[in-house]
Amino acid sequence: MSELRWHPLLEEWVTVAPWRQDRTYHPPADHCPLCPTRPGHLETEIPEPDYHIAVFENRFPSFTAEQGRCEVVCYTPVHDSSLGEQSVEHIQDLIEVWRDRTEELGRLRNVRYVYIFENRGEAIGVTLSHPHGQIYAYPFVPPVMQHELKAHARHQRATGRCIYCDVLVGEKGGERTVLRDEHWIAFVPPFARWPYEVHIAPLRHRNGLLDLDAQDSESFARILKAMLQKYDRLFDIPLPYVMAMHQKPPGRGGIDHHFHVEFFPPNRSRDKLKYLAGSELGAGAFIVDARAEDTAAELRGL
Amino acid sequence: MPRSQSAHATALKVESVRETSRPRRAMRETKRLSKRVVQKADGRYLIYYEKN
Repeated sequence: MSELRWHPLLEEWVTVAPWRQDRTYHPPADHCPLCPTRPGHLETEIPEPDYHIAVFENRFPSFTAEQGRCEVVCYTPVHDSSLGEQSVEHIQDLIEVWRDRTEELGRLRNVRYVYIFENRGEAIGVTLSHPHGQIYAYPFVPPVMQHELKAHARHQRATGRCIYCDVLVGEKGGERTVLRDEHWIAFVPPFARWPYEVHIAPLRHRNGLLDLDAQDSESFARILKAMLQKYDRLFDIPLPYVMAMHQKPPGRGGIDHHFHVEFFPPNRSRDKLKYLAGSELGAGAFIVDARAEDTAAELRGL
Repeated sequence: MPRSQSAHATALKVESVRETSRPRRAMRETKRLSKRVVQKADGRYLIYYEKN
Protein backbone atom coordinates (compact mmCIF):
# COMPACT_ATOMS: atom_id res chain seq x y z
CA MET A 1 0.00 0.00 0.00
CA SER A 2 0.97 3.62 -0.43
CA GLU A 3 2.27 5.64 2.46
CA LEU A 4 0.29 8.74 3.30
CA ARG A 5 2.46 11.50 4.67
CA TRP A 6 0.99 14.61 6.19
CA HIS A 7 2.24 17.99 4.95
CA PRO A 8 2.00 20.08 8.13
CA LEU A 9 2.51 23.42 6.38
CA LEU A 10 -0.11 22.97 3.69
CA GLU A 11 -2.23 20.66 5.85
CA GLU A 12 -2.72 18.10 3.12
CA TRP A 13 -1.80 14.50 2.41
CA VAL A 14 1.05 13.46 0.14
CA THR A 15 0.76 9.93 -1.23
CA VAL A 16 4.03 8.02 -1.65
CA ALA A 17 3.74 5.13 -4.14
CA PRO A 18 7.27 4.23 -5.35
CA TRP A 19 6.13 1.27 -7.51
CA ARG A 20 4.48 3.69 -9.90
CA GLN A 21 7.95 4.55 -11.13
CA ASP A 22 7.85 1.26 -13.10
CA ARG A 23 4.50 1.84 -14.81
CA THR A 24 4.07 1.18 -18.50
CA TYR A 25 5.58 4.02 -20.49
CA HIS A 26 4.61 4.79 -24.09
CA PRO A 27 4.34 1.25 -25.44
CA PRO A 28 4.10 0.88 -29.25
CA ALA A 29 0.51 0.75 -30.55
CA ASP A 30 0.69 -3.00 -31.19
CA HIS A 31 1.58 -3.55 -27.50
CA CYS A 32 -1.13 -1.28 -26.09
CA PRO A 33 -2.40 -2.78 -22.81
CA LEU A 34 -5.80 -1.10 -23.20
CA CYS A 35 -6.67 -2.60 -26.60
CA PRO A 36 -8.71 -5.81 -26.70
CA THR A 37 -6.60 -8.97 -26.96
CA ARG A 38 -6.17 -9.95 -30.58
CA PRO A 39 -5.89 -13.63 -31.55
CA GLY A 40 -2.25 -14.69 -31.70
CA HIS A 41 -1.05 -11.62 -29.80
CA LEU A 42 0.00 -11.14 -26.19
CA GLU A 43 -2.84 -10.80 -23.71
CA THR A 44 -3.59 -7.19 -22.81
CA GLU A 45 -5.36 -5.91 -19.69
CA ILE A 46 -8.58 -6.90 -21.46
CA PRO A 47 -8.46 -10.59 -22.49
CA GLU A 48 -11.53 -10.55 -24.73
CA PRO A 49 -11.33 -9.74 -28.46
CA ASP A 50 -13.76 -6.81 -28.17
CA TYR A 51 -15.52 -4.67 -25.59
CA HIS A 52 -17.91 -1.74 -25.35
CA ILE A 53 -16.56 0.02 -22.25
CA ALA A 54 -14.23 -1.68 -19.77
CA VAL A 55 -13.02 -0.76 -16.29
CA PHE A 56 -10.22 -2.43 -14.36
CA GLU A 57 -8.08 -1.87 -11.29
CA ASN A 58 -4.94 0.03 -12.14
CA ARG A 59 -1.89 -2.23 -12.17
CA PHE A 60 0.13 0.57 -10.60
CA PRO A 61 -2.33 2.04 -8.11
CA SER A 62 -1.84 5.01 -5.83
CA PHE A 63 -4.58 3.62 -3.55
CA THR A 64 -5.59 0.02 -3.06
CA ALA A 65 -7.05 -2.39 -0.48
CA GLU A 66 -8.38 -0.53 2.57
CA GLN A 67 -7.04 2.82 1.35
CA GLY A 68 -9.22 3.12 -1.73
CA ARG A 69 -9.10 2.24 -5.41
CA CYS A 70 -7.55 3.39 -8.66
CA GLU A 71 -9.38 2.35 -11.78
CA VAL A 72 -8.76 2.71 -15.49
CA VAL A 73 -11.80 3.36 -17.70
CA CYS A 74 -11.31 2.27 -21.32
CA TYR A 75 -13.73 4.39 -23.33
CA THR A 76 -13.56 2.36 -26.53
CA PRO A 77 -11.69 -0.61 -28.02
CA VAL A 78 -10.54 1.65 -30.88
CA HIS A 79 -6.94 2.68 -30.23
CA ASP A 80 -6.75 5.73 -32.50
CA SER A 81 -9.76 7.56 -31.18
CA SER A 82 -10.73 9.99 -28.43
CA LEU A 83 -13.55 10.81 -26.06
CA GLY A 84 -14.72 13.63 -28.32
CA GLU A 85 -14.94 11.27 -31.30
CA GLN A 86 -17.43 8.97 -29.56
CA SER A 87 -21.12 9.24 -30.42
CA VAL A 88 -23.47 11.04 -28.04
CA GLU A 89 -25.06 7.66 -27.32
CA HIS A 90 -21.68 6.15 -26.45
CA ILE A 91 -20.87 9.08 -24.15
CA GLN A 92 -24.25 8.55 -22.47
CA ASP A 93 -23.17 4.95 -21.86
CA LEU A 94 -19.91 6.23 -20.43
CA ILE A 95 -21.83 8.57 -18.12
CA GLU A 96 -23.73 5.53 -16.86
CA VAL A 97 -20.39 3.80 -16.20
CA TRP A 98 -19.10 6.87 -14.32
CA ARG A 99 -22.31 6.89 -12.26
CA ASP A 100 -21.98 3.20 -11.46
CA ARG A 101 -18.38 3.60 -10.36
CA THR A 102 -19.26 6.69 -8.29
CA GLU A 103 -21.92 4.70 -6.46
CA GLU A 104 -19.90 1.51 -5.98
CA LEU A 105 -16.60 3.11 -5.00
CA GLY A 106 -18.39 5.62 -2.78
CA ARG A 107 -19.72 2.71 -0.72
CA LEU A 108 -16.22 1.42 0.12
CA ARG A 109 -15.47 1.69 3.81
CA ASN A 110 -12.67 4.24 3.83
CA VAL A 111 -13.37 6.14 0.63
CA ARG A 112 -13.97 9.84 1.17
CA TYR A 113 -14.00 11.08 -2.42
CA VAL A 114 -14.55 9.55 -5.87
CA TYR A 115 -12.67 11.56 -8.46
CA ILE A 116 -13.22 10.91 -12.16
CA PHE A 117 -10.66 12.39 -14.51
CA GLU A 118 -8.88 12.11 -17.81
CA ASN A 119 -5.35 13.07 -18.70
CA ARG A 120 -5.01 13.51 -22.44
CA GLY A 121 -1.83 14.04 -24.42
CA GLU A 122 1.87 13.67 -23.84
CA ALA A 123 2.09 17.30 -22.73
CA ILE A 124 0.01 16.30 -19.70
CA GLY A 125 2.22 13.31 -18.99
CA VAL A 126 0.03 10.60 -20.47
CA THR A 127 1.92 7.31 -20.83
CA LEU A 128 -0.77 5.37 -22.73
CA SER A 129 -2.36 6.98 -25.78
CA HIS A 130 -5.41 4.66 -25.98
CA PRO A 131 -8.56 6.70 -25.12
CA HIS A 132 -9.11 6.21 -21.43
CA GLY A 133 -9.83 7.98 -18.19
CA GLN A 134 -9.16 7.18 -14.58
CA ILE A 135 -10.97 7.10 -11.28
CA TYR A 136 -9.33 7.65 -7.92
CA ALA A 137 -11.30 6.68 -4.83
CA TYR A 138 -9.36 8.60 -2.19
CA PRO A 139 -9.21 7.90 1.55
CA PHE A 140 -9.45 11.68 2.05
CA VAL A 141 -11.15 14.63 0.39
CA PRO A 142 -8.48 16.10 -1.95
CA PRO A 143 -7.36 19.67 -1.21
CA VAL A 144 -8.99 21.37 -4.21
CA MET A 145 -12.34 19.79 -3.42
CA GLN A 146 -11.92 20.67 0.27
CA HIS A 147 -11.39 24.31 -0.65
CA GLU A 148 -14.45 24.27 -2.89
CA LEU A 149 -16.64 22.56 -0.31
CA LYS A 150 -15.57 25.01 2.39
CA ALA A 151 -16.21 28.01 0.12
CA HIS A 152 -19.59 26.56 -0.81
CA ALA A 153 -20.52 25.98 2.86
CA ARG A 154 -19.44 29.51 3.86
CA HIS A 155 -21.41 31.05 1.00
CA GLN A 156 -24.46 28.98 1.82
CA ARG A 157 -24.32 30.00 5.46
CA ALA A 158 -24.00 33.67 4.51
CA THR A 159 -26.53 33.83 1.67
CA GLY A 160 -28.54 30.62 1.71
CA ARG A 161 -27.50 29.99 -1.89
CA CYS A 162 -25.13 27.67 -3.73
CA ILE A 163 -21.90 29.45 -4.66
CA TYR A 164 -21.69 27.76 -8.05
CA CYS A 165 -25.32 28.62 -8.86
CA ASP A 166 -24.30 32.23 -8.21
CA VAL A 167 -21.28 31.82 -10.50
CA LEU A 168 -23.69 30.65 -13.20
CA VAL A 169 -25.93 33.67 -12.64
CA GLY A 170 -22.88 35.75 -13.53
CA GLU A 171 -22.72 33.98 -16.90
CA LYS A 172 -26.18 35.05 -18.02
CA GLY A 173 -24.70 37.78 -20.20
CA GLY A 174 -23.02 35.11 -22.31
CA GLU A 175 -19.70 36.92 -22.73
CA ARG A 176 -17.78 33.91 -21.46
CA THR A 177 -20.18 31.25 -22.71
CA VAL A 178 -18.78 28.71 -25.17
CA LEU A 179 -21.80 26.42 -25.48
CA ARG A 180 -25.20 26.35 -23.87
CA ASP A 181 -28.48 24.49 -24.08
CA GLU A 182 -31.55 24.33 -21.88
CA HIS A 183 -29.81 22.19 -19.26
CA TRP A 184 -26.03 22.73 -19.41
CA ILE A 185 -23.44 25.42 -20.03
CA ALA A 186 -19.79 25.34 -21.07
CA PHE A 187 -17.96 28.53 -20.21
CA VAL A 188 -14.58 30.03 -19.45
CA PRO A 189 -14.91 31.12 -15.83
CA PRO A 190 -13.95 34.72 -15.08
CA PHE A 191 -11.40 33.35 -12.61
CA ALA A 192 -9.84 30.88 -15.13
CA ARG A 193 -6.21 30.09 -14.29
CA TRP A 194 -5.40 28.61 -17.70
CA PRO A 195 -5.97 30.39 -21.04
CA TYR A 196 -8.43 27.84 -22.43
CA GLU A 197 -9.81 26.54 -19.16
CA VAL A 198 -13.48 25.59 -19.49
CA HIS A 199 -16.12 24.52 -17.00
CA ILE A 200 -19.12 22.40 -18.02
CA ALA A 201 -21.96 22.50 -15.51
CA PRO A 202 -25.68 21.76 -15.21
CA LEU A 203 -27.72 24.96 -15.05
CA ARG A 204 -29.95 23.41 -12.41
CA HIS A 205 -28.40 22.49 -9.10
CA ARG A 206 -27.17 18.90 -9.19
CA ASN A 207 -24.89 17.42 -6.53
CA GLY A 208 -23.13 14.93 -8.73
CA LEU A 209 -23.45 12.23 -11.36
CA LEU A 210 -25.92 10.27 -9.21
CA ASP A 211 -28.21 13.28 -9.21
CA LEU A 212 -28.54 13.41 -13.01
CA ASP A 213 -31.67 12.12 -14.70
CA ALA A 214 -31.86 10.77 -18.26
CA GLN A 215 -32.40 14.22 -19.76
CA ASP A 216 -29.47 15.67 -17.80
CA SER A 217 -27.25 12.82 -18.98
CA GLU A 218 -28.17 13.21 -22.64
CA SER A 219 -27.57 16.94 -22.54
CA PHE A 220 -24.30 16.44 -20.66
CA ALA A 221 -23.14 13.98 -23.33
CA ARG A 222 -23.99 16.40 -26.14
CA ILE A 223 -22.24 19.39 -24.59
CA LEU A 224 -19.20 17.33 -23.57
CA LYS A 225 -18.77 16.02 -27.12
CA ALA A 226 -19.28 19.46 -28.67
CA MET A 227 -16.77 21.03 -26.28
CA LEU A 228 -14.12 18.41 -26.98
CA GLN A 229 -14.61 18.84 -30.73
CA LYS A 230 -14.10 22.58 -30.34
CA TYR A 231 -10.93 21.93 -28.37
CA ASP A 232 -9.51 19.81 -31.20
CA ARG A 233 -10.41 22.52 -33.74
CA LEU A 234 -8.73 25.24 -31.68
CA PHE A 235 -5.21 24.60 -32.99
CA ASP A 236 -6.03 21.73 -35.36
CA ILE A 237 -4.32 19.28 -33.04
CA PRO A 238 -5.68 16.75 -30.54
CA LEU A 239 -5.61 19.27 -27.70
CA PRO A 240 -4.04 17.93 -24.50
CA TYR A 241 -6.10 18.51 -21.37
CA VAL A 242 -6.90 17.43 -17.86
CA MET A 243 -10.61 16.76 -17.38
CA ALA A 244 -11.63 16.89 -13.71
CA MET A 245 -15.08 16.05 -12.37
CA HIS A 246 -16.08 17.75 -9.14
CA GLN A 247 -18.97 16.23 -7.29
CA LYS A 248 -20.31 15.79 -3.79
CA PRO A 249 -18.32 13.44 -1.55
CA PRO A 250 -20.05 10.08 -1.07
CA GLY A 251 -22.19 9.20 1.89
CA ARG A 252 -22.43 12.63 3.39
CA GLY A 253 -26.05 13.59 3.15
CA GLY A 254 -25.56 17.04 4.65
CA ILE A 255 -22.78 18.14 2.30
CA ASP A 256 -23.96 20.04 -0.73
CA HIS A 257 -22.06 20.74 -3.94
CA HIS A 258 -22.73 21.74 -7.54
CA PHE A 259 -21.51 19.14 -10.01
CA HIS A 260 -19.22 20.48 -12.70
CA VAL A 261 -16.40 19.38 -14.97
CA GLU A 262 -13.23 21.42 -15.27
CA PHE A 263 -10.91 21.29 -18.29
CA PHE A 264 -7.31 22.43 -18.17
CA PRO A 265 -5.54 22.43 -21.53
CA PRO A 266 -1.87 23.39 -21.04
CA ASN A 267 -1.59 25.10 -24.44
CA ARG A 268 -1.56 28.87 -24.73
CA SER A 269 -1.02 28.54 -28.48
CA ARG A 270 -0.50 25.68 -30.91
CA ASP A 271 3.20 25.40 -30.08
CA LYS A 272 3.48 27.03 -26.67
CA LEU A 273 2.57 25.54 -23.33
CA LYS A 274 1.86 27.24 -20.07
CA TYR A 275 4.12 25.84 -17.37
CA LEU A 276 3.56 25.98 -13.66
CA ALA A 277 6.61 27.99 -12.63
CA GLY A 278 7.76 30.31 -9.86
CA SER A 279 4.52 32.08 -9.04
CA GLU A 280 2.16 29.18 -9.68
CA LEU A 281 4.16 26.28 -8.28
CA GLY A 282 6.21 28.13 -5.70
CA ALA A 283 3.57 30.52 -4.42
CA GLY A 284 0.29 29.03 -5.58
CA ALA A 285 -0.59 32.30 -7.34
CA PHE A 286 -1.64 31.84 -10.95
CA ILE A 287 -0.77 34.41 -13.57
CA VAL A 288 -2.82 33.89 -16.73
CA ASP A 289 -1.84 35.36 -20.09
CA ALA A 290 -5.32 35.72 -21.52
CA ARG A 291 -8.71 37.20 -20.63
CA ALA A 292 -11.51 34.67 -20.18
CA GLU A 293 -13.78 36.82 -22.34
CA ASP A 294 -11.34 36.64 -25.26
CA THR A 295 -10.65 32.91 -25.11
CA ALA A 296 -14.38 32.20 -24.70
CA ALA A 297 -15.10 34.22 -27.86
CA GLU A 298 -12.38 32.30 -29.69
CA LEU A 299 -13.76 28.92 -28.60
CA ARG A 300 -17.34 29.99 -29.27
CA GLY A 301 -16.46 30.88 -32.84
CA LEU A 302 -14.98 27.48 -33.72
CA MET B 1 -2.15 4.02 5.64
CA PRO B 2 0.81 3.51 7.98
CA ARG B 3 -0.03 3.25 11.67
CA SER B 4 2.61 5.87 12.44
CA GLN B 5 0.25 8.40 10.96
CA SER B 6 -2.32 7.64 13.61
CA ALA B 7 -2.46 11.30 14.67
CA HIS B 8 -4.22 11.88 11.40
CA ALA B 9 -6.00 8.59 11.19
CA THR B 10 -9.26 10.22 12.13
CA ALA B 11 -9.54 11.15 8.49
CA LEU B 12 -10.00 7.46 7.78
CA LYS B 13 -12.53 6.70 10.51
CA VAL B 14 -15.44 4.74 9.23
CA GLU B 15 -18.70 6.60 9.28
CA SER B 16 -21.22 4.71 11.32
CA VAL B 17 -23.98 5.58 8.92
CA ARG B 18 -23.39 5.75 5.21
CA GLU B 19 -25.83 7.01 2.65
CA THR B 20 -26.27 3.98 0.42
CA SER B 21 -29.61 4.62 -1.17
CA ARG B 22 -29.60 5.81 -4.76
CA PRO B 23 -31.11 9.27 -5.23
CA ARG B 24 -34.75 9.14 -6.19
CA ARG B 25 -34.20 11.01 -9.46
CA ALA B 26 -31.54 8.59 -10.64
CA MET B 27 -33.68 5.54 -9.88
CA ARG B 28 -36.12 6.60 -12.57
CA GLU B 29 -33.49 6.21 -15.28
CA THR B 30 -33.48 3.00 -17.29
CA LYS B 31 -30.20 1.14 -17.32
CA ARG B 32 -28.50 1.31 -20.70
CA LEU B 33 -25.77 -1.22 -19.90
CA SER B 34 -25.29 -4.55 -18.22
CA LYS B 35 -22.22 -5.27 -16.17
CA ARG B 36 -20.02 -8.37 -16.07
CA VAL B 37 -17.25 -8.60 -13.49
CA VAL B 38 -14.33 -11.00 -13.94
CA GLN B 39 -11.21 -11.53 -11.86
CA LYS B 40 -7.84 -11.26 -13.51
CA ALA B 41 -5.07 -13.79 -12.84
CA ASP B 42 -3.35 -11.37 -10.46
CA GLY B 43 -6.54 -10.82 -8.44
CA ARG B 44 -7.54 -7.45 -9.86
CA TYR B 45 -11.10 -7.03 -11.12
CA LEU B 46 -12.11 -6.21 -14.66
CA ILE B 47 -15.61 -5.02 -15.48
CA TYR B 48 -17.16 -5.25 -18.92
CA TYR B 49 -20.03 -2.82 -19.49
CA GLU B 50 -22.14 -4.12 -22.36
CA LYS B 51 -25.15 -2.79 -24.25
CA ASN B 52 -28.47 -4.22 -23.08
